[in-house]
Amino acid sequence: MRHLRLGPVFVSLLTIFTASVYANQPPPQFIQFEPSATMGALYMPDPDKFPNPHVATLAMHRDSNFMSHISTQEMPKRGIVALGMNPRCQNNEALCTPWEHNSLDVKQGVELLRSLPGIDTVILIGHSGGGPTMAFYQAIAENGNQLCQAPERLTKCPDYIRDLPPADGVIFWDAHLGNGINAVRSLNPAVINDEEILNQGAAPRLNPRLDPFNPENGYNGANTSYSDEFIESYLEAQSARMNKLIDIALDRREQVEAGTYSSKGDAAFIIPMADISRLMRIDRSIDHSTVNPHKLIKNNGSIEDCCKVESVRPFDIDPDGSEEFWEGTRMLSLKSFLSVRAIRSKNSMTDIDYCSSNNSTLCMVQFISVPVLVSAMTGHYFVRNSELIYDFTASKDKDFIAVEGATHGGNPCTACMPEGDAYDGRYDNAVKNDFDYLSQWINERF
Amino acid sequence: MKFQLIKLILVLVNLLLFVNLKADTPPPEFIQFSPSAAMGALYRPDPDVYPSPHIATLNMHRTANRLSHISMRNMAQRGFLILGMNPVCHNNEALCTPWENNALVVKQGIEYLRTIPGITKVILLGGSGGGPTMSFYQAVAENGVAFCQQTQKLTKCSDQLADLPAADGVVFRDAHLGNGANALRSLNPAVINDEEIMNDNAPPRFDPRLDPFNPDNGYNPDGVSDYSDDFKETYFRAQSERMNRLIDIAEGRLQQIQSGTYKYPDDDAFVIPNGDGSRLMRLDLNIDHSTLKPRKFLKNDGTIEDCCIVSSVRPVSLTPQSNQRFWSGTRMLTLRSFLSTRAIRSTHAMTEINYCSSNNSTVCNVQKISVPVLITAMGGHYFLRNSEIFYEAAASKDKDFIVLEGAVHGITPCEACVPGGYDGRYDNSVKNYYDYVAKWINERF
Repeated sequence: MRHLRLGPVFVSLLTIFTASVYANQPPPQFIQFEPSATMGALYMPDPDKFPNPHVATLAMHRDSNFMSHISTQEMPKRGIVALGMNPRCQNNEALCTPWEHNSLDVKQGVELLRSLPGIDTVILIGHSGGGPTMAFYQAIAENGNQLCQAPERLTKCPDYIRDLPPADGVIFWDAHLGNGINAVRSLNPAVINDEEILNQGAAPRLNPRLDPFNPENGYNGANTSYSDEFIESYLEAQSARMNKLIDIALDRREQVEAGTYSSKGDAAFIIPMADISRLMRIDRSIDHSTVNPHKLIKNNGSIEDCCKVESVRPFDIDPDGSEEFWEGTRMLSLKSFLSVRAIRSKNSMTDIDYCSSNNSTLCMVQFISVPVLVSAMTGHYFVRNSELIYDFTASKDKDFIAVEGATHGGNPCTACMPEGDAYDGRYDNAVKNDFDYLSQWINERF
Repeated sequence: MKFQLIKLILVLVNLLLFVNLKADTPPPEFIQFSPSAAMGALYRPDPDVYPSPHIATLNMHRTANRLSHISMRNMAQRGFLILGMNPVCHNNEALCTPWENNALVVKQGIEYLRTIPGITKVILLGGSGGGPTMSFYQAVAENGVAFCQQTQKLTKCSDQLADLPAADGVVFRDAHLGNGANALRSLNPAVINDEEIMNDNAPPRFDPRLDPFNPDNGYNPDGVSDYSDDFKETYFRAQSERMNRLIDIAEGRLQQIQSGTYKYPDDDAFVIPNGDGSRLMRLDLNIDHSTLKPRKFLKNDGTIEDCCIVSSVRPVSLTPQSNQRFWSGTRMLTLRSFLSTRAIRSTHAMTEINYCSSNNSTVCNVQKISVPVLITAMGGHYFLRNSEIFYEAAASKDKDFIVLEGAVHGITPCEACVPGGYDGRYDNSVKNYYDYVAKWINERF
């Protein structure tokens, strides 16, 4: 008898739950912002299921297309309005001159969302390079532009980046520490002739003792395990190369500003072998896990809160990529390099001057007071990055969660399997679990 | 009584016209294509006014954003569906590797539009750099990939471009001859050391006798320049020589890549200083000042004059700074994007261009198109003669050419075209233009 009564209730609850999660969304609306390259797509929840949404999210990257970002698909299913935006340097990092201007695009998005009837709360979603984007925006919105004009910044923001309306919360979603930090960690430090390359167009010359793909240094494909000594030398050499590049760029920028350089306004700054050399992608013992115990959403939806969270990422680097133009080269200008891809350091992992760049999640989260959720994908290599963001965040209301077996894009990591094993569905619920947690975190607060 | 009836009919006609032009189009729908950078926005007519549209138009450029182009609202207001698309190298010409692959994005747009219930016709809109884009697409769709793999092409298209579905017509709006031809005519030919620049990162060195901004050569910093015939002839030949030199350097490097002897195995940066901002016709308005033959001219009052040679009313639009500044004067490309997008062979930048040495060539491509084409030129810009050239080259039996009075490249009224202050003389340019385009389409499809 009890079963007969509970059965329909269970079915009804299941129906309601399923209907909520899989409600039909209206088609996304294209939104044109200023300037022309700045644009967005607005996704509304099904009005039959969610007639009065009051929370909106805004996702934007630096140069990637976020107009069909996974959050724009998943948030409306859960009753939250989602705006995916692309900034003025979409599809072209060299046009980030400076990157700080992207905050003017975020501003337009926040203002648009606040103008929608019923919307009283706007949450920023900083995914990957959206992390520094949204941290910068919120920090300047809360503290004013003196923060981005501090003397130690390699690029200072212009005065017209002011009066940014703050958001009500920020979700860092597998964000990284900043594009400059990514750049220093991705540099191939074996290159020894950057002056020749940039001044005379020479081909790169390499110090084999710093070549990450040299077996004598410990390289062994997916089974690579470098010595502590090599790792230390490598990370310090990455910093030394980055500092050298910064010095060259600063000197040229001075000449440009003095009118003594060969081109006016800016100049090309093209760095070979500047990517595909991030040691943690080769030796997965580096940044393998969080330092402290943290919450982990398991595939079955339960949350484990006892232990350090480990990354299950695969070996994902092609040794040839570093030498290829499109994979390994950064095609920038002086201004975009100094604004987006430059940061001062002495050791690319442990001794970084985080506030030498505005493009620095770790610098900026120290100035954010609104609620922050940091979410890390364990099928990628930003788990420890996320923990650092969480640790540095000043907000009193902050939370950290890792999603078991999700890729950087949030989907199940089918490559995250023990060597030789085929994917067995063990991470199939990653997307649902993640966005259920995100929407619950939002709904509990706003 | 009869007069009142006529008056009533006129009022009703006006009302209908007003309703049509002021129709409320639904919000544009964002469409994600593949790969991620390829995207579109679909604008539909007001369903209350146009319940059953059967014609869709598709607008795409090479790098510029077409998702909110002026044609979107204007075509939708006249009863057409319109899809604005951005291709893979949107906002970044260096990513056109090769440019020919943008055709795969146009293809997705056409296939998408043909799936929309009721749509039976798809018309391509090629504005400016959309001209070579759409002419290339249609020519390959009608003739197959053999056309874009001919031996003389600097870049040959891939076999992936087989089986493109053809469109039903093409409207060219102030299109140009091609991005290679534009690049050729915009090069500063005074640069004499491209090998040094490309090989050793040297700064450019100049021959002052070829400097377009040198008053000794005819440059007037305060107004319209008047170059001598001798200077122009030397200049245009020097532009071709510089372009050919750049092509030789790029091809040499690409051959090294193919033989495995280059420093990179796939591509390389190809940054050309003083590669833009030196188009002589922007300084000396006598160059390409008018059509060669009498052409139809759509005047501001909506009438069409069809008697005379049509002159451009464009203003001077170039300063030395635009050539010297990095972001306006430099082409930041790669070997592959340069050879595919910005390279063309010639011996004279104006009169002796090997149009079919590049796939990015409206003049070459329109010779292989059979569907109806409408070619429109803006009277306030410098592509008037360009449009006439590819009108003459177009193979379509059904082809039309019209010049819009006093419109800028983007169709709006050219206020700077009126010395002494704009007086409203071109205010109807947008309405006149889209009324004409809509009529041309509706008469045929």
